[in-house]
Amino acid sequence: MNVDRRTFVKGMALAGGGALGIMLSPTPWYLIRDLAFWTQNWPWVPAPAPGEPSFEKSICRICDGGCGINVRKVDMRLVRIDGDKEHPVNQGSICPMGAAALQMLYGPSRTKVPLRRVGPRENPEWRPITWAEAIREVALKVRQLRAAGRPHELACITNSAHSTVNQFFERFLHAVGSRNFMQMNSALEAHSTVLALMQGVDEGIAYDIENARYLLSFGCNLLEGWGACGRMYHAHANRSAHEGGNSLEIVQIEPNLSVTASKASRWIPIKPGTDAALALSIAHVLISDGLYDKTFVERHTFGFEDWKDSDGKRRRGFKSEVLGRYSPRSVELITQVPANVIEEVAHEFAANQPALALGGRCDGSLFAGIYELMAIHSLNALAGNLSRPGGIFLQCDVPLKSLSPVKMDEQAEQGFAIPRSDGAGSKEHPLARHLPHNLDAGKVGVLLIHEVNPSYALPNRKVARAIFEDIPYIVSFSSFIDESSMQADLILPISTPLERWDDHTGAPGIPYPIYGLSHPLVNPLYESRNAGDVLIEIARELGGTIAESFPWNNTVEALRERAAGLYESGTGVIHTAEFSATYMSQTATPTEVKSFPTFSDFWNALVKNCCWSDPQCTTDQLEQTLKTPGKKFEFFSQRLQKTFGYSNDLECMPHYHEPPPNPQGFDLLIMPENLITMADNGLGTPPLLIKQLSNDVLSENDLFVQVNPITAMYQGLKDGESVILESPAGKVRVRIHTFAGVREGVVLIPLGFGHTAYDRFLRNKGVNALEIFDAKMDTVSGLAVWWAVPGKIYKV
Amino acid sequence: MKMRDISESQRQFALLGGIFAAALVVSLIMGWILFPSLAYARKAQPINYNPPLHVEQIGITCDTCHFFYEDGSWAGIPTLETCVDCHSDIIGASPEEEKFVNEYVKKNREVKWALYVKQPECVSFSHSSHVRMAKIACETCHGPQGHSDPKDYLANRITNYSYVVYDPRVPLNAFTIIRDKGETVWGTMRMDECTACHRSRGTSTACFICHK
Amino acid sequence: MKTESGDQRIARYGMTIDVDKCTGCGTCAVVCHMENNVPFTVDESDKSRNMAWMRIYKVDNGLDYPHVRVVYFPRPCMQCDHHTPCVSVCPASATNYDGLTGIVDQINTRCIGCRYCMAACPYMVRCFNWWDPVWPKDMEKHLNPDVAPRMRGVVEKCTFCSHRYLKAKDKAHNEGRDYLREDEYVPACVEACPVGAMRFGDLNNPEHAVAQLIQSPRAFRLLENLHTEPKVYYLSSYEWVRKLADNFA
Repeated sequence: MNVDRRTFVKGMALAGGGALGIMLSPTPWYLIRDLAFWTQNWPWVPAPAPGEPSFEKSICRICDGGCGINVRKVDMRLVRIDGDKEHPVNQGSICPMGAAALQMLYGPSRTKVPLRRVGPRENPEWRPITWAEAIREVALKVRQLRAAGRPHELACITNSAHSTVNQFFERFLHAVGSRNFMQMNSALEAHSTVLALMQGVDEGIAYDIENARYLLSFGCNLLEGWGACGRMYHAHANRSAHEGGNSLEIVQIEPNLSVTASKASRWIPIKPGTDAALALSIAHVLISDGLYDKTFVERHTFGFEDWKDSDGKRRRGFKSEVLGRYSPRSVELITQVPANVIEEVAHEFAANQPALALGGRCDGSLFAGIYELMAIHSLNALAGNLSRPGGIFLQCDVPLKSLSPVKMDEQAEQGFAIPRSDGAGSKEHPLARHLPHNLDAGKVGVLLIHEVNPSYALPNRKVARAIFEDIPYIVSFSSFIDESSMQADLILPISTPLERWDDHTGAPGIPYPIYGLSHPLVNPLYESRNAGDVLIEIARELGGTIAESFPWNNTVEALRERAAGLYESGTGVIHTAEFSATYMSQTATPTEVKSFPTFSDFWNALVKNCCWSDPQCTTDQLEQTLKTPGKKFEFFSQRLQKTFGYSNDLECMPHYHEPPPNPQGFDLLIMPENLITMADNGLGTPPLLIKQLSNDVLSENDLFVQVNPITAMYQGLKDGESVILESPAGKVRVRIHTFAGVREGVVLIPLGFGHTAYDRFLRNKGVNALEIFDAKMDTVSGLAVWWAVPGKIYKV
Repeated sequence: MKMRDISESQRQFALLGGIFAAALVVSLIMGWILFPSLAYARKAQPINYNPPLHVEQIGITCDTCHFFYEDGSWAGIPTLETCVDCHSDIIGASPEEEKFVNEYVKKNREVKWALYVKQPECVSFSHSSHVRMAKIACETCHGPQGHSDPKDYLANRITNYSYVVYDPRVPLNAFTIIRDKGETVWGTMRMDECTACHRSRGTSTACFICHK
Repeated sequence: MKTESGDQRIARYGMTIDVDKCTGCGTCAVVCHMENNVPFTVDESDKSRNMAWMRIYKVDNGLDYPHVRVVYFPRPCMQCDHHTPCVSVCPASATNYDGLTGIVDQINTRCIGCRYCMAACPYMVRCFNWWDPVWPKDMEKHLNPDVAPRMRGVVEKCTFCSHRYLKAKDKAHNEGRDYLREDEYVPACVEACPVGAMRFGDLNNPEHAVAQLIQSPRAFRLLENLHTEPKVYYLSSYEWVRKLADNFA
């Protein structure tokens, strides 16, 4: 079209008029306003809904520490976890794992519905089934075992918590007719063996850290997950006297610079595995300089001085032994700790009473042998620190009402007479209670796995593999799709601790009784159920005496029944808190149990506040802590002699024995490293914790092991290089990171990596360090010993 | 010739002026009436809640259902739980009431109310500061909502936000929609309105005071 | 804001972190990221791309075994008081310094994603959303409604949990108060620190613990030579730690 001048001018008039008219109208301005609003909305970015704010208490069950938590809720969503300032264990401090627990609750690796495996274990496919089908299936398998006269082939591996649900599992096994109830070993389990041998008691060990002035820690990672993590953090927060607490010195004896070592008042580097020699050398100085508690040793110990046995034969005592063999000068050669340092530490230990000597590396579970822990514990006895403030106590029983006795029919009685398949309590391992790492998989027909991940976390890898290769039928009661569930035959989705009724007795290392009760803060997600409720239903399906052994309708009924014992005891307190719905303020007063008019008042207060404790009730009398036949602390353990029939006196006393030489070609020592950010017990690690890992721990999917720069130089390796780390048990591919805090000749490998299950945020990152640790069994306790393994490292 | 020229050019100018004026009038009509009318879609609320009935006849006040939580945060639109306090059973004979009780209360379903006033996700508005501290009445921002009965929810087609006419005497048309806010129309506040008020009262205008 | 006695006073909120106490456990960072809806990805080891408002740096004294020692520096936004570098370069007024509280905020929807502030910040506290944040389906449930999740293409950083300041004010207003008590406004990290290494308060208020702590000879700040006057102070009794904080040029 030809546009002439006239047409153009007309067009301009039209446009001008139109434009002016539009500009004189509100439309353009409102359009701009609306577009501005539009730009502020991003519909694909989640907009968390506001709602009614509230706070509820609960108990953290990530580990056995039993820390109190305070959960912030928005309507029915849980959005934050904080430490409960009124809880006696942690007093407000929690670890990062506890703080991130909501990522586990809402995480993508939750088990959602019961799943039955189809296809082989190596390449499983999963078919969803209903709860009714699942319960019928488990009942059928148990019934088949009983019909075949093999009820003892039912076994269970569960977590190390002292909980009613675990009692349910034990009860179920007994009612069916099996002794094979196994708990994973708790971190301080070896210490119980030491107490049994030297003090003749069955209870767990407790440390009055709050009142101690000096901690002599033999490799305990006190600030990286030892004991109840929140409690240790709180103790660390109040370490210096000017913070209002008791001034507390921590002396860390450890080959490598751990977090605890770098925060300690003093770090004493030591040759790996020689802790027993050092402890006995400190004992040497205490004795030779007369710095020990003479009254206590004279009155309350056995085997200190030389003694005569019933045959009139002269036996060497602890004193002669220590004075003869462990002078600082000779021990300097063993431990590579200078003699003057040994003397200094011994003098400090004596001068800063009450002082505690703590053993057990990493979280407490790693040790070179029971004699090492005995050597360390004898320092506590020399200081006379038993049953007195700042000293060693026993874990106290919580006065819960015990559940009614199990009913067993004839078949159950027969099965129950057959000894355990893990050898605990047998002639070989008379002191052991649970040895899941020694399970004879060939003797198990049906295995129930409850909230543990033996496939990943069992230190003896051969047994871990055998369990999943040889046991015909495995049921996993799990909240998460972990490695063990992936190899099971049936996965039962269990509610996480924040969704269920549960309880927890006693916190590790706490000297007075504590009972934690948790209630559901949200309705169970998906189709998950309480493991206790599932067991009750399975028992009902089986009928007979098995059903009669479970007379409750659900777990809460049993919990309520047991809690009646607390009320009837009339002792202890509940910290009843009045919440104000703010972030910070929360006031609580200890309410005595006596002051609740009825049981249901008590129960309601317990449910709301989650914790009963009795700080007055400690084993503060020596007759409570010394229960050997002579009511004495035994430097020479008569029980050890009697049980094992040792002829060599040394084998009944704390001593140091040289480890066997490394196999040819393995000139390095591989040691595990406990990271506070990684769950190393087979539980998953939430994504926000993986975010915390520095990229010299994990880079993409490569795990780094740490070596001293000098070690790297000798091996011809550079920082960041890919290497093969090999031990007699196996080899893994990792990268190296050089760090001067690692001792020469040591390779530190972090635990908690190399998962093959869980979600994409955790899976396939690094390697599972356990694969190269060849766990041995301690001859005395039967517990797994894997504090180190000989190794070599070379380029890929 | 000259005259003719003049009249010719006058005619030309008149024509151009006519085109200009016509375009102006048409675009004014479009700008003032057509576009504003097109900019909003009328939508019905899921339940035709009747504020004057509650406020004037039953005599409850705003804060009966729109209350503060203990920590000073604002409950906002009441949830079913609040409604059920009175409406556990059908009260009166209104069909809307019957629908509410049968469809929502009995089935325990939350009503998905369309909000007349809402801010984008990046804004946090504290009712506590405005109502408790500055003592601003609800009506200042929300208008006489409790006394009006807006049958329709007007959703802006671009933003999906609403403006609503509260004064029932004013006919709902383009003119009322574009009328200055505060006279007959109330709705989602713009940032310039927020800051103007904050400035005039000498309150903080730090960004984080309103933006989250 | 007003103090208890009622006189108008300008607050300067600040933090002290005792690095001698800090064990580098990471609870502060976890809690910070929970509180502020900071997203995560499958590969978090790419520290140039991952999102973190609080990072913990492990630093050693450079000596050989056994003289080597380690400290951990938790690093939130330093909330610079003077010539705040990010504020002075932002072309979109997306980050601003508030004179009444001293808080340097970040308004996500206003950010145009030029990342000029990231280049300007000497402490590397800022991170850029290379992707839209994605949470696995049910994980959206633990998001905090007080903080808006960000979108791709914007920069974000620690805000001293300014939403908690507003929450504290809300509560105070609800109780008819116009002032805040010392413990009422505390960022999530400080509240959660399990070893009590972190303190928070008004540096202008001599009654607040932080105002006293920053007077101590143990107190120092990172890169003081730049004179950006950070309001995050570190405390240490060790000379080598204090020296680490600056190049002493």
